[in-house]
Parts: sequence; structure tokens; C-alpha cells
Amino acid sequence: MGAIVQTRKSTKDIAELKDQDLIRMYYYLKLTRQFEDRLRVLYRQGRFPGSVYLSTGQEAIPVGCGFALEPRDAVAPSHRDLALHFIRGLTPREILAQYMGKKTGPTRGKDGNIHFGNMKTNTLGFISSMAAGMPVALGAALAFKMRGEDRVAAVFFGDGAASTGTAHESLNFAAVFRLPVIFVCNNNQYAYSVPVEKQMAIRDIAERAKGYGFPGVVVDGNDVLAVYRACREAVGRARGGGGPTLLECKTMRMSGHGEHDSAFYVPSEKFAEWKRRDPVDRFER
Amino acid sequence: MVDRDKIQEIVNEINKVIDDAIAYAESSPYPDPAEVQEGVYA
Ligand SMILES: Cc1ncc(C[n+]2csc(CCOP(=O)(O)OP(=O)(O)O)c2C)c(N)n1
Repeated sequence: MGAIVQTRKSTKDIAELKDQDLIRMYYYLKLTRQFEDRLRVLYRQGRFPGSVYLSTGQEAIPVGCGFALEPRDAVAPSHRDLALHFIRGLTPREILAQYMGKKTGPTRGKDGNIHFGNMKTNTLGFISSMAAGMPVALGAALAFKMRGEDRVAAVFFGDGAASTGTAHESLNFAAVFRLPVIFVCNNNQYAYSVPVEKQMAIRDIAERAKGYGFPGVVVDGNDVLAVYRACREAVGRARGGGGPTLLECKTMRMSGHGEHDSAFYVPSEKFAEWKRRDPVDRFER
Repeated sequence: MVDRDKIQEIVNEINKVIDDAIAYAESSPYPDPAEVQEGVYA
């Protein structure tokens, strides 16, 4: 048996979301898109040092999951989850200060771009080594379980990170100890220049969950409501003592790995195809 | 639920938030070099 493929049939099964929530979701999708569009321009103008990694085209994943989790839950975002920081209360002011190396940013000028966390918002710091955030999130989940706290942890990572030994060890550890954790894989088709078909010989990363002994779910990562619903279910299972879930969100990285990378290796038809599935445009419709 | 005008209103509001953030970040101070070891544990 492969992974469970989940689609959103209607908005009826997410009736708990009121109009106001849907407008807030839209706000965060747009805020992230507009903020990153501006970041790209500032980077090209040389107005901050270092590099910039964008989540353009993938915003529905951190927004959908951000709404499915409670503020008391721990999150370990990847470098493509800016929206999670916004939803958890960091402001555009603080994030720009971070990029500009200023004292008013979350690392108080010690690091640039997206490598930061914020203990006040239960956001674990992003570690640049791919998949290294997983064991940290497991530590948080293990602590919640041992203390009997009604909290879960969610860790976000890419298709490339999913190939590491750390990912294997983490998925297995979480299964053995039935930890309240959600593994959110953003399968954005590329790990730097490596296309996903050269990354793995199976179609769905979520399929691997079966081998560890817990559910793996494939979801349309460009449909914010589908992501919300799938994550909500995984969170419910984790809170109820049902252990981990691997949530694979299919999406596309709509720019280079970073803004220094032109993504010349991505066929233009592929960008065009995914542009039609843009998560912000779709939610607008 | 929302019409074109409401969407435009959201877009404009976000643009203002971003303009304000750029001005804030650009006018913020750099850290004092004396703080370089603060929060460094290894
Ligand atoms: C262990 C490790 N190997 C290599 C790198 C260099 N590197 C940084 S990002 C990246 C690609 C990551 O791809 P993926 O996990 O799919 O995430 P995406 O950037 O596509 O969101 C690589 C190879 C690293 N940071 N850590």
C-alpha cells in the first residue's frame, strides 16, 4: 500500500474556518508573497549582505500548517517557511532588520536571512545542515510527551533533506516512541539543481512512512485549505496519542534555490505549468 | 466573501507595512561589537 492521497473536495469539511479566518489566511499568503517580492528587489539593489532564499509558490504550506497548529505547539521551519514566522507573530520590521544585520532583528544582528528561531513563539531555530532540525523537533516532542503536555511539534523540510540519514533516523525514532510530531515535507521538485526524479526512485516520499509504521499523506501543497485540513488531521492524531504523520506537500520552487541562482536547469514549461497552479491565485479564485 | 476592491485594499495595506518595515530596518542600529560574544555558547 502506498501513501494516502488527500484532496480537498469542498470547504464543508473545514467548517470550523470562519470567513474571518479565510481572510486572515489570504492576508498571510499575500503578505509573504509581497514581502518576498520586495526582498528580491532589495537583494538585487545590494541593500543587504548575504543571500536570500524565497518561498514563492510554496506559501500555502506554512500558511495551511500555521493555521492548523496552536501557538503552544513547537515548529521547526525550513528556509522556505517565512509565513510561519509571520503567523506566529514576528513582524516584517523584525524580519527585514534580520536581513540587514541590525540589532532589532531576532538574532540581534548575529546572523542574516532566514536562519533564526524565536523561543517566545515556540519557533525552533533553523539549522542550515539539511534535516538537522528534525532531531531538535523530536526532542521537543519527546519533552511534551514526558511532561504530559498537550502540545505537538511540527518540522518542515525539503525533498532533498528527506534523503539524508538524519531524516531516516528521525522518522524511525519518532515511530518507535510514538512522538506527537508532524513531519511536513515540502516536495518542491528540486533540491538546488537536483530534480526529484534523481533524488528518489519512488513517486511519493510519503510512501516511506509505511516502512516506519505510521501514516504518510500526500497533499496538494498549492491548495492552502487542503494543506490545512491534512495538517489538522495529523495534529489531531498526534494530540490524541496516535503518534507521527509524514505529510508530503507537492509544490514547486518557483525561483532559483536562492536569488543568486537563475534556475537555468528548470525547463520553462515546468515553471509555466506550475504557474497555473499558483497557490495565491487559486485561493483568490 | 471578498471582492476586487477588498483585495486591492489588502494589497495596499501590505505595501504600507512593507514600506514601513524597510524604513525601520534601514534606520535601526547595527549591534555593538562589544556584544559579539553574547549568546555564543560554543
Ligand atoms: C547536510 C547538507 N548537505 C548539503 C547542504 C547544502 N544545501 C543547502 S540547501 C540544499 C538543497 C536542499 O534541498 P531541499 O531539502 O529539497 O530543500 P529546498 O531548498 O528545495 O526547499 C543543499 C544541498 C546542506 N545545507 N546540508
